Amino acid sequence: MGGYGMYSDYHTEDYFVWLVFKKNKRLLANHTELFQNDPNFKNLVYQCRTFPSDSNLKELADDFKKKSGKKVNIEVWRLDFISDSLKLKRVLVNDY
Amino acid sequence: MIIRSELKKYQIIGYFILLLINVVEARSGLTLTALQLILGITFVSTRIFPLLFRNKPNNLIRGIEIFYLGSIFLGIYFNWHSSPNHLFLFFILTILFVFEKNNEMIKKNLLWVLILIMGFATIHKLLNPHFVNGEFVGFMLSKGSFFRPLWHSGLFPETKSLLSQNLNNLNDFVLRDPSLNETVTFQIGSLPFHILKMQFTYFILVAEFLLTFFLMAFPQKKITYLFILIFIASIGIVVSEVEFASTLLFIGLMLCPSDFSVLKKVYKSVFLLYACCALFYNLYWVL
Repeated sequence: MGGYGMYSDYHTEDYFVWLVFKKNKRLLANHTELFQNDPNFKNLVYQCRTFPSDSNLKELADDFKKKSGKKVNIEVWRLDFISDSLKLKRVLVNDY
Repeated sequence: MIIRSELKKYQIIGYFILLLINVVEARSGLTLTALQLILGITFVSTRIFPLLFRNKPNNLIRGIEIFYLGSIFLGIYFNWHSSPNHLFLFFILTILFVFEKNNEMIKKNLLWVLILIMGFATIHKLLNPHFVNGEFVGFMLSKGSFFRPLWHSGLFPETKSLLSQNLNNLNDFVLRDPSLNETVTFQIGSLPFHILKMQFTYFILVAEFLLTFFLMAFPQKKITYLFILIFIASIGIVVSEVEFASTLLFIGLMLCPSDFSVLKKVYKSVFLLYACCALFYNLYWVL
């Protein structure tokens, strides 16, 4: 990641994985019971956060459906800071 | 067999301290971390007390070394998304310490490891619009992620309070539904933020470029090791990443020629200081 030796871009902790249910109800993936209790699901969430590719998002959606029986869409959002106005917003990085 | 390695005792002890830092952090998961500790202690013992292992078969020692390397590799492999930079560096150090007996060859490899790290860090920043336009440094400054020891020193209570408030606002903000397209505005008070963010961005770019240049052009000069020492030691103050700083300081200590005895002593002292900070900080979180 570079930058002051190691930081030069938004850290993976500035990326957030959201599960999107019916009627556009959203839940942070790391606030689910599965995240707390299932190491494999937790691993897939971290995978999406670090490398939000289509295939990783699909893998997470499939895993959630298999374990909870509910169909979800996955969205990965990143923080975005505009230093001139000191405003912080979020941008959609990828969705499935 | 008798293990023939040119590594000096202080180098092995320094390596062992880095092992402890990684073990206490436990970023490889509990099982692999425990394995790394047991195999790491055995590996370090073969280098510090080679006579104790003179009657042990060659294959046994080599087997332990390979399993030890494997335990670090698997720790990175299974947690690739959250493995810290210093664990990757520690893995490279272990490869060198296991397979290379010649101290000069180890130093040559470490020199190029450092050149590649700093060189690529500089190139990555130059290619990254978030960094070059100062947005990234601005973000880090405004949420108090840079210069933490300064804000916690009590010298700037107003700034500390504002930065803490920004961080609290950020933590609330990330929990809200992102599709609502809300924003949050940070407060920076009297901090000369806009000047600071650009100057600090340029300073980082120039310092990292110079560091790479000095390492490539003058790998035996005192100025190079003085510059590395100042730059790496400042990591602890700027980003408070004492684990990474300790690992780089250890590499700097290994590379620093023996002729610069005073500088070497300073390296040892700063390394020990940062290593203690890393150990206590991580122990504090574990306990």
